[in-house]
Amino acid sequence: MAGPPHAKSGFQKWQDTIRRARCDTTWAEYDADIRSTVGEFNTHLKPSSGYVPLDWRLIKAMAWTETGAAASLWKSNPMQIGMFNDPGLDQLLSGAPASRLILPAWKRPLTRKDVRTTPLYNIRAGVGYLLLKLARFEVKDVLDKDNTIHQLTVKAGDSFDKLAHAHGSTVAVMQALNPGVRVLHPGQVLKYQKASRQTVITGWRAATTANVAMYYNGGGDAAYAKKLDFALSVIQQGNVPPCRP
Amino acid sequence: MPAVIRRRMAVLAGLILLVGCANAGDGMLTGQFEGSGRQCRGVLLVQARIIAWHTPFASCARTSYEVLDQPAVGGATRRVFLLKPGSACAFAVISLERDAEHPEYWNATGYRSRQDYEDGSDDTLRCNLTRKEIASASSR
Repeated sequence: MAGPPHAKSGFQKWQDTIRRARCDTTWAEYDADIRSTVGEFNTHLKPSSGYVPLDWRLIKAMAWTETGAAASLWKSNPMQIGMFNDPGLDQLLSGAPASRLILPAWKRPLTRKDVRTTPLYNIRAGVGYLLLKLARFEVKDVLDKDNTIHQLTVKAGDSFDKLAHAHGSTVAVMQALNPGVRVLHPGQVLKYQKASRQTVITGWRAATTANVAMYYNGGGDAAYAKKLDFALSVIQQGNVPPCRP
Repeated sequence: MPAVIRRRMAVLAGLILLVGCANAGDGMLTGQFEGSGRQCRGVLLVQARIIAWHTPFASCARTSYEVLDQPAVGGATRRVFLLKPGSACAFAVISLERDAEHPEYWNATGYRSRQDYEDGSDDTLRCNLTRKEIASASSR
């Protein structure tokens, strides 16, 4: 004789909700916003070395995991970013070189209020913050496009640092162009090339569910990657029969 | 049974029912509420005199409160807590209500100040929480 059925765990109940979501158009209401946002970021970051275009369905799975249409927050803040004291949004809107590299040039830049209250902007901020965390940055010497090699004459009191600053170059570039020169003497002729120190993207972490759990969600929820995997698998099945009558 | 006794018994039964409903409503707004996601992961604890809420970017240690607002009639589904000032809490006001559309959720909102609450500020922490079903939650 079969015993009483076991009560479902919280995760199992959540899975039931997600299975039903596949057939509920409310859960797909941001599909167009997510597709367009991911498309904008993919176009913007395509020239970045090692960038693998994001799959919009991963972002949809994030929205389902962060909130989902059964929660009221879905209507304003589906990606759960940008509310009260969120350092992620501060980082994204800081205007720092890293965030400027990540964000596309939208006609209407992101604002805190928009991100907190409007789903499209919340989705943009969510994708932007995810990519900011997945990118690897370094500060490097970057040569100007004009690669002319110039010359200068050292005066009393000059140093590589002072000369680089005065001539729009960098110490490393000047030292590389003048190998063997360690001590400067008045009258010495040095080569230099226009260059600057810039933050650049040097690589990308893979956009896996484990990395989303770690870098977007913060890594404090042991079940997050599992939920994301499940949501993604359901989304990847698409809205196919038996959903449609 | 005389009519007067029947009327008194009916009044008494009504009073008992009313008190029962009020207590049931009260019980649904106390206990342990759990959140998930980037900003809402954590626990909101509401006891008879103490409230605490811990999330990744905003925390509120155990703080005493007074009820600032709640529906006047029994079966309250919303309550607004005014927290004791000067305490180790990121919020001055926390509101908690059962979601009418999705009753599996309770909507909690944390405000920086009473003024923000009164102005309906959008600079808040809003979370959809589930109530943890433990017998001791409302009595701790």
